[in-house]
Amino acid sequence: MPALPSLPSQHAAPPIPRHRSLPRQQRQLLATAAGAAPAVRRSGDARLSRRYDLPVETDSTLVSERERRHMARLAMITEEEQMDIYPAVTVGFAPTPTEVEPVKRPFLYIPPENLAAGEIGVDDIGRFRLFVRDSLTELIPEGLCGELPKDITMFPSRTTPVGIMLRKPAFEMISQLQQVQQHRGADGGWTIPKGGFLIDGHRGTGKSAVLNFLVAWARESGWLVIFEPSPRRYAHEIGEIKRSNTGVYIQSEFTQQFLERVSVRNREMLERMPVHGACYGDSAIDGSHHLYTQRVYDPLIGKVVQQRIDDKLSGRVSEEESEEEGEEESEESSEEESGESEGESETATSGGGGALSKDDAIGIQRERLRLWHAYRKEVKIPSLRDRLPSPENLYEIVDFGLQNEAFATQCAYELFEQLKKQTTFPLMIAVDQWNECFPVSEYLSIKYENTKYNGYIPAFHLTMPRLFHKWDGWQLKRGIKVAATCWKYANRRDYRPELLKVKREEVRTVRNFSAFEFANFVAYYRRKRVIQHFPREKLDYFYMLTGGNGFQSRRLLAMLY
Amino acid sequence: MRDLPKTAHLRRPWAEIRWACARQQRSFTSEDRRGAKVEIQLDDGSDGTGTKATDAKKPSSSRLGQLSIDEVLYLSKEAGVETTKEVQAIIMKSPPFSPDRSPFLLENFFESSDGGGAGSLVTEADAEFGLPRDVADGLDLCLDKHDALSHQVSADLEPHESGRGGGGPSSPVHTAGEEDDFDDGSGELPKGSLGELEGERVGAVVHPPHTPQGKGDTVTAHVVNQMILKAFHGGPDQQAHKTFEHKGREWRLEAEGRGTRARAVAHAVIKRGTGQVLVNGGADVYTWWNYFYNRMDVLQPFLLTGTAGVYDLFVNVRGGGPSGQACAARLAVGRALVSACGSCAGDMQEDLVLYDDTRQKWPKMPGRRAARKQRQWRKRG
Repeated sequence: MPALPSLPSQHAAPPIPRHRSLPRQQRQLLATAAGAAPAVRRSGDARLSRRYDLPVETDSTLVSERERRHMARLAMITEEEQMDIYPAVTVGFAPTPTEVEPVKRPFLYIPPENLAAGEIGVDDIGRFRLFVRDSLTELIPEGLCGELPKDITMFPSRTTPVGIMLRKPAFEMISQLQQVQQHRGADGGWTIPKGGFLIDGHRGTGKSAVLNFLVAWARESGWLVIFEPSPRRYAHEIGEIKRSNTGVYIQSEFTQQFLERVSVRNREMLERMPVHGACYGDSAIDGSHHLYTQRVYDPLIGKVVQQRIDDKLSGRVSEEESEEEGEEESEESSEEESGESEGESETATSGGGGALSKDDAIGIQRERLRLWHAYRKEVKIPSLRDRLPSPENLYEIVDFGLQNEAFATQCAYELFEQLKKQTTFPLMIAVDQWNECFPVSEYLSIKYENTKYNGYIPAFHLTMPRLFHKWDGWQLKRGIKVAATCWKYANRRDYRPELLKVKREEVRTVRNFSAFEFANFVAYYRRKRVIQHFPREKLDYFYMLTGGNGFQSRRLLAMLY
Repeated sequence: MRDLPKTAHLRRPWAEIRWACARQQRSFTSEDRRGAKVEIQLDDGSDGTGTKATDAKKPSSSRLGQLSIDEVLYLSKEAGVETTKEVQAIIMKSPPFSPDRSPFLLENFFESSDGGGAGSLVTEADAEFGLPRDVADGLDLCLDKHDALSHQVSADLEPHESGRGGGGPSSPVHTAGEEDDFDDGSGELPKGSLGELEGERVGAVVHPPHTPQGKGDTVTAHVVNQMILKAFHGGPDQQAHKTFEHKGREWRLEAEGRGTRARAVAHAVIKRGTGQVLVNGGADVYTWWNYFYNRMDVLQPFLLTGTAGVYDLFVNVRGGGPSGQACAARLAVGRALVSACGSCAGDMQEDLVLYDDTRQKWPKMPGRRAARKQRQWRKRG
């Protein structure tokens, strides 16, 4: 087909020459040979861009006429001719002889002598560390996170040891934590100058496996580890919730369960940790600070005080009543407080007696303050200090929470406040599924109707997910926080770590398996007899098929072999 | 323009001619490129050395000292001596390249009637722009089709048989046929003419490919052309770092291919790597194709050719559904592998990887629910 004559432009295809003397087919062939674009591909955009001299967007998926011809020619050629055209090796080609590397398979597992000496090196990345099952249960009694329990259920043997692969981020974090484990600050006290790690990555890359490895290592290395493998269940499982005055929903049952799990492994360490008196007793019943909880009553007190003042100004309050009131208040204050409060009560009675005049502004303010003070004293935030005045160690707080369900939440929050101050042990707070602390839970509340939560209580308004949702690793004096999360898994929400105050250097991304790691993974499954007849020659093919993703690999291997 | 003595084989032709003209000499002694002494006579007679100057028509002695500007320019052009002004004048005074007086275009430049020179020009341009194979392929077909060019090629074929080319002395343009004449004298060919000309001669068996007997010949020509192009444009040294050996075969480091299936099109680029797959620039293969059997389709060519884990795959897919996209990608990968190592095509033959399934969905037809689905029969109403 002859092309339309057009001005040569920089981006458009060169114009096709016109050869009137040639037949149409030959003209077309000439045109295509000259590199002109096939006329059939001219869309409206291309015409527009040619008209206004805009750059044409090239689409790499288009099949050009030249390629069609090439394919057609290829189809015409027989196999022998193909061998002629494309000989397997060119004449001048001299390949370098490849050295056959020795098989590294004997080192599928990290050698026990390395483990005993604490020498885990870069060479061990991709290898499995074996745990005897009982020891693993003792080491992590909270339960393993991620899909490791699924692996264990797939093993036909009930006694075979369980392996956890050492991944590169785990190795990096361990080597960093080893540096800060015995770190002392400028004042000579124990400290860890690190906020923590956010283990990031796509689904199935091995974030939870990394966390498992890290927790096991930390426990063995003498760290105090508070481990929560699944905050999701606090927001999605059924339990009793009670709304507090600050709007937080108290989950006493779940908190008790959590405290129980914490105390299984950490009891001895908690018993050796003293209570920091300055911050003890600050938590309210729902875990928030007692000053914050007191402020909730401020609007109510203000309203009552204003009402009282109005009454006095209008003279509706008789002198007798006011005197009685003053006496009562003074009695109460004298009962509760010591000598200072007596003075206050004196001023309160002296200032509060009689009706107020509207012109006496100072008197009104004094009266307002007096009333405000009197009413605020009536607001009592129950403190753990009242029930458990002087615990000797942290385990007593935990134990008190276990004994009293009503105080369980308060005890858990008190425990975490104490852990911020402690320097006895290096501390690690490890949370898996951290992203589950942020979306809405399955609990419904009328308070959240017509909000963006659409009637569901957000998880961070429940006390248990609220305990973990803050990125507050920097507040731990001798501790770090390690959270594993997948931003794209739950409800496909795209969370941004920087909005949660996670610094970029704190994020550790877990990638898919390398080829070596994938080979080890398959070999491990083979050893554990999860898979039976895996074709060894297809290893690379399966690596491409799964993309080296752990989740996909497990699915595929468990399905096919 | 009348004919002038051929002096291109001389070492410093233009300077000597000019010097002779300035001295009003009718003959002078010069050296050819081999260093042999050659006597050139400018007015008449023969020099007895067998140079081409004897064959040419002599200019009149009266005009020797007063060469026209055309003559001077032509001489300088032929001699390869160019000052800026001369070049500018050459360009300004040169006739249009296209025989049909169309403006100067690259295509016309290729199709100008300077015979074998066209081949050399094309191949030089190919080598310059780094697009040897495809462009040359297209031109080979052109050579078969184009009357003038095929005539010229056949004329180029003749000198080896009959001893005299088609470029006659009356031709104003210096043709390759004339250059061949220098073979006898100086024994040296202009750069870039040998290989390409040889290639054209062998490859351009003049049979139209649409005729039954022409098909095989075209294939033969194509085969030979491919080998020649491979030898000349790549060369063993150049290709050594672009290829690698795997399982006894030589594979290109990078290759690409395109494929279609139903409404889907795919473009696959394979690069030497470790088996990473990236779809549409960012997605993982297991994200893009959820089902295993779709992924198996995409990666089947690697399995069949034994190159899994050898190449990284970057595939762009568009249109259609997941299954169609997977099959389009499969075809694209297969073609890319063939492009990387042609001898692997046989491995994929049994599974019809390279088979382009051009079936399309049938349109909805009137009187039916869909393309083929019929209305359900009901006994009543």
